[in-house]
Amino acid sequence: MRTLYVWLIGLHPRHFRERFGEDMTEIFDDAGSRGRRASLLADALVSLIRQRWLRPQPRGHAVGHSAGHVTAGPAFHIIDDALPRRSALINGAVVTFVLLALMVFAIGRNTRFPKTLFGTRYAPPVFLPMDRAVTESAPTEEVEMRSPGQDRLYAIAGLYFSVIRVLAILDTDHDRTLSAAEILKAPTLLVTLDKNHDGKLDAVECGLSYGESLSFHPVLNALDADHDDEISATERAISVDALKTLDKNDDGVLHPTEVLPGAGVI
Amino acid sequence: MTKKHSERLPLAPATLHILLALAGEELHGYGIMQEVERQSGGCYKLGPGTLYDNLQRLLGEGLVEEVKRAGGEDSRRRYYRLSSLGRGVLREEIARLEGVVRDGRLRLGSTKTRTAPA
Repeated sequence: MRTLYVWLIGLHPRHFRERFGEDMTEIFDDAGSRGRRASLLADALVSLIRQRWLRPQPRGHAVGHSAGHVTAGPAFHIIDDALPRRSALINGAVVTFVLLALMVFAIGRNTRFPKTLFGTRYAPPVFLPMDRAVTESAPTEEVEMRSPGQDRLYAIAGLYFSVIRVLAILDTDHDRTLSAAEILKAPTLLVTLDKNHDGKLDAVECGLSYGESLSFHPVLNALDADHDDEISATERAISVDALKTLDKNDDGVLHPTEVLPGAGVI
Repeated sequence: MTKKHSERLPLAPATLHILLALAGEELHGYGIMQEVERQSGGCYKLGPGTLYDNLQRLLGEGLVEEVKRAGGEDSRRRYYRLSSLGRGVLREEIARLEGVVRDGRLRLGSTKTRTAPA
């Protein structure tokens, strides 16, 4: 307990501990009971806080300017006059910590503060329900490694996606796959293909030749539920569920192997 | 520019007790602590941290002076006494407190008179 007390006194500003440190330690040594010593520890802590933060002393403060200054050797003498004051270092550390904490808090709360300070603003990623499901089902990031055969498949898919307008309009990020988010947008995106505004998509509007059957193309076949070679407004409304039926591996994403005609056998 | 006595009032309890303890005689730190405890009947106990923190301030303001004692077994100890400025401030504080006590007694007395049954 005495070591802790001496340590607390050692943390006081130099001018204070040099002048009063020895007396304080003597009083502590005279304190008999353990309870009394504990209260002196608390007292030293309060004194430390007062001295550090409420009683700022200018550097080079003259000690003992009153009458009859006793010139006894200082008990806590230090020789590091050239170093910054310890109080300045502690104050600096506290201020830095508080500012950092405020900054982290402000960024976390997404207030206007970071934008004002840095000209930018943190925006948390927006998850659609299916995106979240995909993310949660695959917590670790996986790097997709493609074989040369798959590379060729994706090259063919690039051409196929550009021809079949339904796929071109759905693949908004042009990665030759239909993500969960893209599938969710299908009912809205398919409306834009209805050039003659008759409420349904015929073969030409889907990107095929006039009179060509939709059934050869897995995506169009899935969308055309009644197989009349047209995608009606009703079929468009249920297009999300229809597209999900093509997701053979249940990963929430339609890959070229699931949308290219005959790709499943490659 | 030095402060007027009245500008230092009212004194904080620790300051008042330290000045009161030093009003009678020169004392060292531990002596001040004991005297404060004695004067207050054990109700007010000063820790050394609080004592020396206040002493440092009082020394800086010139209300208390440090006294050098030559020779003797207590030569290592630092003694403190009230300066003339400190004595003046303490006198004014006591006068102020007397006024408070007088006013308090008057009010309590008049309250008793008003609330007393006829």
